[in-house]
Amino acid sequence: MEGRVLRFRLAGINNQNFLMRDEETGSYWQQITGQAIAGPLKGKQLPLVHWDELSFGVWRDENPRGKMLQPVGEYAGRYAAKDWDKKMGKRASVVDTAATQVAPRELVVGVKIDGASRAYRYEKLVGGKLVMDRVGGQPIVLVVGLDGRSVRAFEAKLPGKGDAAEFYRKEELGGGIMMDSVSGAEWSFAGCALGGEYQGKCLAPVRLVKDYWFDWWSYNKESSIR
Amino acid sequence: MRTKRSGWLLGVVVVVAVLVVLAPLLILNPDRAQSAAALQLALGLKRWSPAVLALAVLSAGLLARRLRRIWGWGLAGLVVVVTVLGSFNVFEWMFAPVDRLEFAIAADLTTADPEDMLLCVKLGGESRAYPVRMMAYHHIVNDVVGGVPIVATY
Repeated sequence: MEGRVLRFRLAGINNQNFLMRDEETGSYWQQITGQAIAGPLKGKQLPLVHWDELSFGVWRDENPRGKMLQPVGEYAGRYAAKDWDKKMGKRASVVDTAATQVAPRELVVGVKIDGASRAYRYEKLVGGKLVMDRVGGQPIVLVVGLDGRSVRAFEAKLPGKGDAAEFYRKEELGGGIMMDSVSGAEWSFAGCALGGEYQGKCLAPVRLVKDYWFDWWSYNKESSIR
Repeated sequence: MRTKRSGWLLGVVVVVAVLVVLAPLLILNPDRAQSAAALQLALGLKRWSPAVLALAVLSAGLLARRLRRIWGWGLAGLVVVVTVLGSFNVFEWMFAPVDRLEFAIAADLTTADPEDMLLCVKLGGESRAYPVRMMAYHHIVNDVVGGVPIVATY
């Protein structure tokens, strides 16, 4: 930030989304937005890094030389259990989402493009495996990995082309997970063409956030949900 | 009269010290909603607490000395205790930070659960992953990936 490297510490909570504090200026930052809400850097925005939330199996297959953080021995006993998300899903929320008619701890995948926000119910998305949509005027495709858990989103435009393309879920072909309606090419879960004229080229990724509805909606009040 | 006034002042100093430490803890409660105003109050108190508490300790000491009463020194001692407690980060008591990062190569992790979820980034050709079940406890990891300093959060 402004030429300085900031290091962050856990510092508080705001409606069940945590706050962090940087050691260099003492400013407080909201985790979900990456924006400073108090202190000398109030109003500043940390540049967001694109990330994926993937299963270890999917990530290892795509990145065999990737590095995974290892448990810290003395704290390993405090790490979440395998079914922790089910337990967390039952925990009460301090944010009232009754007006939205969506349960506060329903798991969603949120996308925000050009100020327009949309959330996709995670279980429905996983069941459907692929969703075509348009958010903020941008055609996008959300696709679920073969693991049935990992989700990615891409601009539904072929590389170098401005027109939208339709994508279809296709499994058990040449290793691809979807096909486009224009070139007929197969595309991997990483969004890269496996053959044809676009071989080696990749779709532009779209950032998505997997979160509880109450947390997504707290910072995206205008968000629709499907 | 002088003793009475010093006594009252010392009482005020104790109350201020306790409030400065206690109020943010009460406001920033994970089981309660935070209004925008309450949040800013709590964060303001946290930011200014080191200076306020240092002043409180100094004032309490001077007032206790002026009073020359045992209870005066007791109250001054209470201010010191509150100040020490206020210096601890209760959130890091609950969720310890990861100060030393160790990584393993994906292909070498033959016994890892393939269904475990990870937060994955790729920068400068370098791929890094942070297990969600670890991040759900630590919440924050400061790291450098592909030469880019990042903070992974969950």
